[in-house]
Order: sequence, then C-alpha cells, then structure tokens
Amino acid sequence: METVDCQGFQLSRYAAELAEREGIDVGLIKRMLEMSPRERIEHAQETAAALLRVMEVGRRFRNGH
Amino acid sequence: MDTNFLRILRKLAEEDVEFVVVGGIAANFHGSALATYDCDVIVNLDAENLDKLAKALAEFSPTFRHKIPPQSFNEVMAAKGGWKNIYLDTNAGVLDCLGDIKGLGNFHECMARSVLADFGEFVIRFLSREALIVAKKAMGRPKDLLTVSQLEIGGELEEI
Repeated sequence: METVDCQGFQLSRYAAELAEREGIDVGLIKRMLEMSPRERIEHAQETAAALLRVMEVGRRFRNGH
Repeated sequence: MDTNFLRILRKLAEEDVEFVVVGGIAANFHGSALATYDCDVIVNLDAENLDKLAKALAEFSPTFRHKIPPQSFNEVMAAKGGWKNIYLDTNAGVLDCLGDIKGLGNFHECMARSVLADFGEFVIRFLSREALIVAKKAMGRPKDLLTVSQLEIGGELEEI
C-alpha cells in the first residue's frame, strides 16, 4: 500500500486526506489506541471531570459571578 | 483535585507562563457541549516564556507528539527557538502550544481578546467567545463550524 506522511505518521493517501479534511489529530488517535481499555475509560473520566470544572467556571463567568 | 489538562493549566498559571486557552476547551468554557480530548493554548513564543513553559511542564514528562521515537520537550529544546507550534503529549494529556491562531494572529493579539476566569486557587485566560468564533470560522473544518453553531446559538439563548 502506498503511504504518505501525515502529521509525522505514515498513512494511506485516503486516511491522510481524511485526517486533513476533518482536522483529525492522528497522534491523539494513536495515543488512545496504545492505551488499555481501562486506561482509556480512566482518561475519559479524568477529562470529563476537568471539563466539568471548566464549564462550571464558565457558567459563573457568564452569569457575572 | 484537579485532573488531566486542568493540572497543566494550573501549573502554567502558577509559574507565570504567558498563555491563553483556545480551541475546544475554550468553547466548553463558553458553553459548548462538544467534548474535546486535547488542550490547545496559545503561548508567547519569546525565549523567556518558552523557558518558563519548559520548566513548568517538566513534571508532566512532555514529549513531542509527532516525533517517532518520542523526544522530550525540555529547556534545552525550548531554547533552540524557531518554534511555530509545539505539539506535546504529557502524562496529563495532550497539550498543543500554538504560536499563532488563524483569523486572529499571535499571542499578543489573542491576549487582547481574552477573558480572565477565576478557578479559586488560580486564574486562567480564555479566548473570548467572539474571538473564538472568528478563529473557528477561519479554520473552517466541520468540527469547527459545529462549534461555531453551538457558540452562536448559545449566545442568543443567553440573551433571552
């Protein structure tokens, strides 16, 4: 299969064009694939907790507090 | 306790690194419900700030995300200069340190269009909603335009 460089990774032309068009971070996908299922879930939970706090501070900001 | 990318942002704030949160997390701050897994910040790319950045990130074991095999980002690397963007993987998640935002410009231009958010123990600057919409429209990818829709509709709903 012919491959091309995409964000430092060798991908098929189809996958590279898809990543470019959709703005997909290939390194992020690779990182997720390298994690165990448990690590992925834990990472998602930690991210969600951090996002929750950002959203809450944002809500207070918009309400002027 | 802070988790994930918030640990990094807190550390950057505590070490007086000049940065503004942009991208999906800034969109979340302004009310978007779209989940994101990476943290985008625009940083002042002058030598002093890059040195502070590298020192602040040291405890998170940062490596360049697009280099195989992984290569550490440290004070020596930071001092090399010539950076446009620094894409990192850390033990607290993915961190993209950008030098320029399409549609807005460099750190100083983004700083002028940022708002200050109080997290209690620390404060962080986020790109303003208006500036974020400009940047997302300039990027123009499907996910950016979806974020713009959420921010614009959310903004109108808040005025009702």
